[in-house]
Amino acid sequence: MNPAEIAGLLRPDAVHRAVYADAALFALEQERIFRRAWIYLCHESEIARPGDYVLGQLGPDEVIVARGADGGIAAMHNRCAHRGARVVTAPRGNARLFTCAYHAWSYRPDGTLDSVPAPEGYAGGFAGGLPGPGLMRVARVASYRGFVFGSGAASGPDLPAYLGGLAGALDNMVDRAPGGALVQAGGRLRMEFRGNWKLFMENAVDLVHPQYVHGGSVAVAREAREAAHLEDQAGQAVQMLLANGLRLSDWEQIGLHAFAEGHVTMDGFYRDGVIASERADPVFKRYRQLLVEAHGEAKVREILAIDRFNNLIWPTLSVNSRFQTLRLVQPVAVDRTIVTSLCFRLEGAPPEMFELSLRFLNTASSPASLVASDDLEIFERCQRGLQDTAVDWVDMSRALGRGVAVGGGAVDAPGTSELPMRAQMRAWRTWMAAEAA
Amino acid sequence: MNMGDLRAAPGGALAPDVLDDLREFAHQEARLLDTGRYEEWADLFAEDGVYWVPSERGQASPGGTLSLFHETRPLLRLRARRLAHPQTHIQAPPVRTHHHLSNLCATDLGSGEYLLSAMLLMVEWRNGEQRIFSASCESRLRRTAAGFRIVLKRVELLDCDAPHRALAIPF
Repeated sequence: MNPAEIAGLLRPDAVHRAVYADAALFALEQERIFRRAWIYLCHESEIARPGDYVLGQLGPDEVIVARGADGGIAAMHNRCAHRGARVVTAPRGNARLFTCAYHAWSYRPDGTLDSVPAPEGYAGGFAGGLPGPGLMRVARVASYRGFVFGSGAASGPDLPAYLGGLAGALDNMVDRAPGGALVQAGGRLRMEFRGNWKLFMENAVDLVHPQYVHGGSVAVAREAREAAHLEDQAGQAVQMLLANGLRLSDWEQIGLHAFAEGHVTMDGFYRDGVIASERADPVFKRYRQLLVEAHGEAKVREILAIDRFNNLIWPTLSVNSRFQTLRLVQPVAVDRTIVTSLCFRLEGAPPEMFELSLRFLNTASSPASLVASDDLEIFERCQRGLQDTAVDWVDMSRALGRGVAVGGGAVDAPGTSELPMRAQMRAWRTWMAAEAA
Repeated sequence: MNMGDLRAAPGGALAPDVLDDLREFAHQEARLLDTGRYEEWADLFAEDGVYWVPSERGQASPGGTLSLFHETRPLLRLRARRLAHPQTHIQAPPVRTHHHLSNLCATDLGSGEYLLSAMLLMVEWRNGEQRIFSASCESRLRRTAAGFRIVLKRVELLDCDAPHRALAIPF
């Protein structure tokens, strides 16, 4: 598909349904977006020691992300250089070598070939000596403050440039740790829906939907308001459910910021109780004190004042710095998406702080969530509707032209604008229209 | 609903009338879920009762690790009321389930408490699609004047660590 054809799928106020429902376009996205853009792979704390590895996903390809003997991090395709078998099967672990189960070719954590049994039998007999071909390396791997990203493109903007205005979301999460570091912990939750990946990324910054999609949860949470004072999972869940019950005029007060890279932030979220930016309970006071000892009062005020909810690092990552969580989107097929939710322990913070992160994700990101289950249902309804070929265009016109340019390609808009969807589609067009890597 | 026989766990013994009561409780719980009487199901939990579906095999506690469900009684009641609310989209159309129990086994824990364990097959039908969940369940029950109350129900899904589409109905 040439750039003109790609551009024809977008209007300023609408997107063609094929963007969500056409399998050929999805295949092209894998090539032009997910194999080129910076995609979140893992956190450094998951691979802290030499030999530690985790499996990650770079678009359609499974990759091994490993810590080498020298402390460096490499990512390589999980595909044996010999006959193509998947080499590593455990999702995480520690290994001196990765050995293919088929003919026992062995690779070091940096992907280079370590040994091949009976090498003289192969063409050329590895006459040039080992290493021969290793595991295919991911072209670029970089860590930003412990968050490891990969890009299948050898050139293009480096990671800090790509993160741009969203680097601050990752900074803020790390800055909230009195010990200055994060540790990924608590396992993961994974949700799946029969819908296109963009539906999740758009919905994460859609502030018109909560009162309608989550209306049932809000209504019953209001009846159970007395539970909101509980210092447990139920109390935190009720507070979070109630937070979806704002009126449109309230959501309007939230500030949306969209960036040329497709990234989005939203400010002005946390208001009450456990989800407030600053709280008065003993745990939070103890935590705050530790933070002040590490950073000083002025800096701590600045850190805690950042009240962004979802921060999107397009195309696949949603960051919540306040509760130290990530949601990572994995596009599996044009109509199938997996969302993995992860949380982080703040080094040096009271252990109770981590329970707040766990409860946040239990409430917001389990497939059984009283919130997310309705979102998943709506994504599937969208996908069903968008398969209808009689109607071409998907409207994204809300508050079109009401954004305010703030420099560097960034635009601000009030909370209920569909600016974040339009910004993501513009980024999509940019990547999709670039033919050769 | 399909109910296997209930027996005392190996090495223990239970009076026939206690086994009858426990069997009836298991029947009743499955019946409430399969007939959509979710609030009555939530009321089977003790005031301090917990319903827990871990996200990892062998997960020891809902503390420190994420869970698919970790709900105390107020939250269970809220879930139950939500399932009946017209704006709960996951219930339009409503989810139908069959909870099939087998390998039922009971242990006397003393002090009026019992451990009831079972293998569960939950067959779910919704919107033209059927899903099957297999799980190992353990319920710690407390005998009260009103009958048994659940202190902790732990459900370990065979695929607890897999991605799941929306889960609306408790196992």
